[in-house]
Amino acid sequence: MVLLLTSDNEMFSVAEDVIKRSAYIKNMLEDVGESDLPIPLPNVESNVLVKILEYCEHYRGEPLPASDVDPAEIGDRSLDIADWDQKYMAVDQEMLFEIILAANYLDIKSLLDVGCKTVAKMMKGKSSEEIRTLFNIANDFTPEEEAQIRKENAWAECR
Amino acid sequence: MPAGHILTEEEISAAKKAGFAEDTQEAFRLAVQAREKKWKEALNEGWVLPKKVGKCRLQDLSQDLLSEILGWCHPVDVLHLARTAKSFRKFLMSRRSKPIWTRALSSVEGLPSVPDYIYCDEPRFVALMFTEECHECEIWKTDPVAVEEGIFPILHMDAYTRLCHWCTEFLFDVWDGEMFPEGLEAEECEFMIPRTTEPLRLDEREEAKRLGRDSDDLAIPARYHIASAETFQELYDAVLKDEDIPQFLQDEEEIWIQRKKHAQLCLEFLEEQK
Repeated sequence: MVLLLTSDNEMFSVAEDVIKRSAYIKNMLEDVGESDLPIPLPNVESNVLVKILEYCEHYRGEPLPASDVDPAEIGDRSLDIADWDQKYMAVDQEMLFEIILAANYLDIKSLLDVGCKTVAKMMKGKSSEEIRTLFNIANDFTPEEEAQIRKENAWAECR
Repeated sequence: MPAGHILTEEEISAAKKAGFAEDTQEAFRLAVQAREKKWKEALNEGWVLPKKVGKCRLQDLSQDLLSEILGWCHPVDVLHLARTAKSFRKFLMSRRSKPIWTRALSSVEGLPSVPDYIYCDEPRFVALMFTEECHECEIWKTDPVAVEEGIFPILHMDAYTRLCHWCTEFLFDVWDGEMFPEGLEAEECEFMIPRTTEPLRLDEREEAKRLGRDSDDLAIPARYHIASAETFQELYDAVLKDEDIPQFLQDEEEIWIQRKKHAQLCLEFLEEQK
């Protein structure tokens, strides 16, 4: 078992083969060896870690992806998401972005990709105004600036 | 409950009672000790436990993570995000973000890439290929004003811009003798400047409607893209020696041929998308 200490000071005891889906933890265990001390996760809260562990548990036993292979780099840009992953990602936006942050921190590439694809799918085909509404982004342009930016599509450095 | 669970003191006591192995108990004990020690030390030093400020939102993500997300997005979605707020615009419209655009563009099957020689920034290319409004006045084909006035955005692929009739008339001009560099014959350079023979003015459009767009009797003057002519002039002025001018013209013609080929590929792409 591996002990994990979250940022809100909660302790988790997790089976090693479950948490090894995190390349960060896997490397740490390999580098440090067995230890009784918990691994601190100062960037992950307990409610998020529970969600992360749910993912790791679901894919327990599945082969770990090769760490140096990025599906997007090898041309797999499909936004298709497996059914279970879609249901898993059916959370509120705050949790969605927390999962992405945690997956990035814990280096769980497959989960990071699912999170990023989920956000990309949410944005797909939406206008700027619809994206603002979707993600609660404040429009800090004046009407004049907004008209101007639609014309200016050159790099800022060239304007 | 998934694989992990939160351990409380009660749970540890229960684990002991349940007869967990000594080493497991010891591991738990050490972990709890370490946790308590850590926070005691922190509190003694006057630390305040970090508290989250507000919710975690798209606009709070680091640029690296935003890049990860945009790596899965269609280029027009990147463009639309860049127009939502100043922070996104500042990040995405910086040349440092070019890889994000390049990656998004390369994900569109069949879309020609953007070679350096066409002097077209990636966001501009995205706007050209995936939006339909006039790049100057933003009028749409179905805009009530456009419908009433009988104008619509025209794609000027050679000039890498999309302009409505009014803006085309403003930004393209008929040959007036001063449009091209002094010392050059028109035929030496005129063919390298994007031009249009679209009927632009109201009388031209009405004439085209009456006679038919392909009629030989329809006389629409060729109008040249002013900005491209100015760029050509600047490049010409930068040639220091007269003996280098033939080489300059040869190089520019080569670039023009490549541009025309690229523009043709883009038109074919757009045709396939219809």
